[in-house]
Amino acid sequence: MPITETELRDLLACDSDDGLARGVTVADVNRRVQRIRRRRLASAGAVLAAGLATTGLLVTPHTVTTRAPDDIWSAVMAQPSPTWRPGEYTVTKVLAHAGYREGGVKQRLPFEGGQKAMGLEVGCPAPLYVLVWINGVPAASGPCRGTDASRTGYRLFGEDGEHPRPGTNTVDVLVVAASDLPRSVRTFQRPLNMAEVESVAAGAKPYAVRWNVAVTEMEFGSSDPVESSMLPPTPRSCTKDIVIHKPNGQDVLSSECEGASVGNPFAEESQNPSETLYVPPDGGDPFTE
Amino acid sequence: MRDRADFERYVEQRSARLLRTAYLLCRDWATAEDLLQTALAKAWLAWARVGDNPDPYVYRVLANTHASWWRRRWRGEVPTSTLPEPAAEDRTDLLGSRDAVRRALACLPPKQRAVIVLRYFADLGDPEIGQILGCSVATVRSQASRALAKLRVDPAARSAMSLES
Repeated sequence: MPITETELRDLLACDSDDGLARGVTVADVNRRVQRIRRRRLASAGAVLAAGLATTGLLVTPHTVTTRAPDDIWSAVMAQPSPTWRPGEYTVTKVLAHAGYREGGVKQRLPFEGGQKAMGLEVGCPAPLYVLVWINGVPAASGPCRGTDASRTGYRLFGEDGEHPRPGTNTVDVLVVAASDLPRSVRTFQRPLNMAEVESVAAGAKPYAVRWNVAVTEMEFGSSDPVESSMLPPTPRSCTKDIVIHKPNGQDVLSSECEGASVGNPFAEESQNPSETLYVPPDGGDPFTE
Repeated sequence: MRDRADFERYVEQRSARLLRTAYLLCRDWATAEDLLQTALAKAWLAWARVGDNPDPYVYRVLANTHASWWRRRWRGEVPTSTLPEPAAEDRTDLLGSRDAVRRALACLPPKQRAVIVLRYFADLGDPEIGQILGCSVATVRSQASRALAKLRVDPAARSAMSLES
């Protein structure tokens, strides 16, 4: 039987009056206001820092480059051009990490939740797809991007970060081949819904692939990008000689390089420090199993 | 000039009702509290500009924040073994119960749900709802009409209602 408009009003009133609400107090709102203000302050600070860095670049002496004569010897200088989006979260602590040599099997990683937001980084090659559960609940899914397993992968950072509960939490990660996904997901590149997540997980079969996962603690804003822009440049493939004529009359011999980067070993594809996936502190093989 | 005392008075007087509105939008008490705290915090940060009646501003933040959370956090979906809206056969009799309406409400898109909640729980008129949701009165009515069709609200009652408005 269809219901009437009055019955709909009654139903809404009744459903929202079951007495389960704790209520919202002025103190609750105050805490939220402080959190919003801290975030805005951090964002403003980051914009200011980026602005100062930009100003610093603008006031450096103007130089002109010309092609060098063939008989001149060459030096090496690369031009770093870091990019950074202000207001991003950055990794402050690695809560847990592990490496695996098998895909198609759900891997569980326990970690201790704290007060800060958490992020998740999965290093995996491009044709793969990542499914993530936090504390047993499907949390996200997405493709591994890029082609190099040591530098590209999947990351999960919410707008506010993912907030684990205090104490021991678990994150389950399943890496599957893109061909195991429903056709509509591959075609439209949409996220999986919960039923599809369980279906893909149930149908996944083990296969050999190297991948790693790191659970990280997140913090809003950082001066790291500015610091990284001051790192010395790393020379790359430099084939063309150039001469830089400085305003004071001096000439500097240099080279035109391809794919120049700052001193970040993982910056070939992205020079944004926050876009570099986690690598263990010893710099060695991340596959620790 | 609106001051801190005004805001505290507003929170004390209106938070219970606003929390129920937030719950009807998201159908989860914890999320509703989170939603309302965010809306009231934003209202306080803009308190000097919200005017004498802060309700429309708070409703707008509630609806917008809920819609953005709904888009971002698909994990909020609840798996179900049966489709909420069978298309092939008319199961109006079965869906006439309150439980069926609740299930249908839970499946409404955020904008349609917001229209239903603001119209039938907050008792706001279509022009006010349009202002809150940032759309025209015609859009509010079309969204309401689609939502009511999904909820199986009596067509006679609906036509009477549209004549009134």
